[in-house]
Amino acid sequence: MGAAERQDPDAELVARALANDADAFAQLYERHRERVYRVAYRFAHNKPDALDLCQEVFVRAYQSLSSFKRQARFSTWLTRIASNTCVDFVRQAKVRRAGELDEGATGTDERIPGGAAPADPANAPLQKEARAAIDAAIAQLSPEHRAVFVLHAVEGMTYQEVADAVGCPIGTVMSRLHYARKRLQGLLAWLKKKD
Amino acid sequence: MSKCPSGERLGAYLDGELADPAAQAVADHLEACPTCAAELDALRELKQLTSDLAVPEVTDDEWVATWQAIAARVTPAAPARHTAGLWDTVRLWRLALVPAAAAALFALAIGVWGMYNVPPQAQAHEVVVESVETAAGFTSMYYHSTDADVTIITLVPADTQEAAQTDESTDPL
Repeated sequence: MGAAERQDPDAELVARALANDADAFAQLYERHRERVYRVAYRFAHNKPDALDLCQEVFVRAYQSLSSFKRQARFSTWLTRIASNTCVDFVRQAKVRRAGELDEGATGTDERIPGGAAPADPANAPLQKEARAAIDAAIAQLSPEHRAVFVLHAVEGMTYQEVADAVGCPIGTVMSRLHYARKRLQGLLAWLKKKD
Repeated sequence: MSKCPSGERLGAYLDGELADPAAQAVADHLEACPTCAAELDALRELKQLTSDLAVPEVTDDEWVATWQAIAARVTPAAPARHTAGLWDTVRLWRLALVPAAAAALFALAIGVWGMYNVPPQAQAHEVVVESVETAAGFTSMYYHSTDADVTIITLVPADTQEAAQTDESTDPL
């Protein structure tokens, strides 16, 4: 038994789920669904898609549970699945959106990540629109930068946890985070001026 | 004054990710460098702005519905009883047609190959033609090959032959 497994509060539930205990996996779902949903929402920007992503994450987790090596915590492993699922979702949505534009479609689909237009700086009442503007700015980050930014800045994960979840070195986490912050500072500069 | 830390390092300092000697070095630098101090303030402001982003609340019913969808996908369903329908029959026939079509194509290919690869001797059979006039006003024509045991005999009325010779003689061309 490794150090991660000894410290992992989910270790027992994972072991039971691996022994085909459906109730154990249901408990894992109840423990982690909120966090998975929060991460998914930052990629989907609407509740129905975020819940669909949530569903996909847990299905993938169940299907690959036997490959979970228990060298990391279950929550970190699950976050990695969530991150990969969300990044895939954004890439596929971009492909769909590009196809729609090729076909001459007009208008912005609010259900498609990255499709949300930034709020009009001149008309946005700050408290009400600021969150929407921040969401729209985050949506403009690439999936890889968004994953790192969301996991650290929004979910409060440490650099090491983000590195484990995303599957890259800490140095990459630092550089992606720095790039994401610089981009967001530029996109949200008008908020600062409005203050 | 020490060299300005990189943006990544400044961010790591803000996030509490630098170990003590390195963190102290950045702190010392910030006291002497207003540019880096301003940069740190801007990063802190963004961190505060983005750290408390709310998400729409999910109701209990929605969580239950999501779980039911997950359970439906991960629980192996009992194999449904399957009755062969018309389409299945058609599909079987189509499967049977595949080797038949392949055999037909093969035969066609062999035929085409045979047409263009006839042995030279087969193209130059020597045919002997003989004619014998009969007493009843007919001419017997004998065609037979020297290298094959085949003989063809035709009977042509004598007046038909004469008419053909007349037509040839009056042809303006």
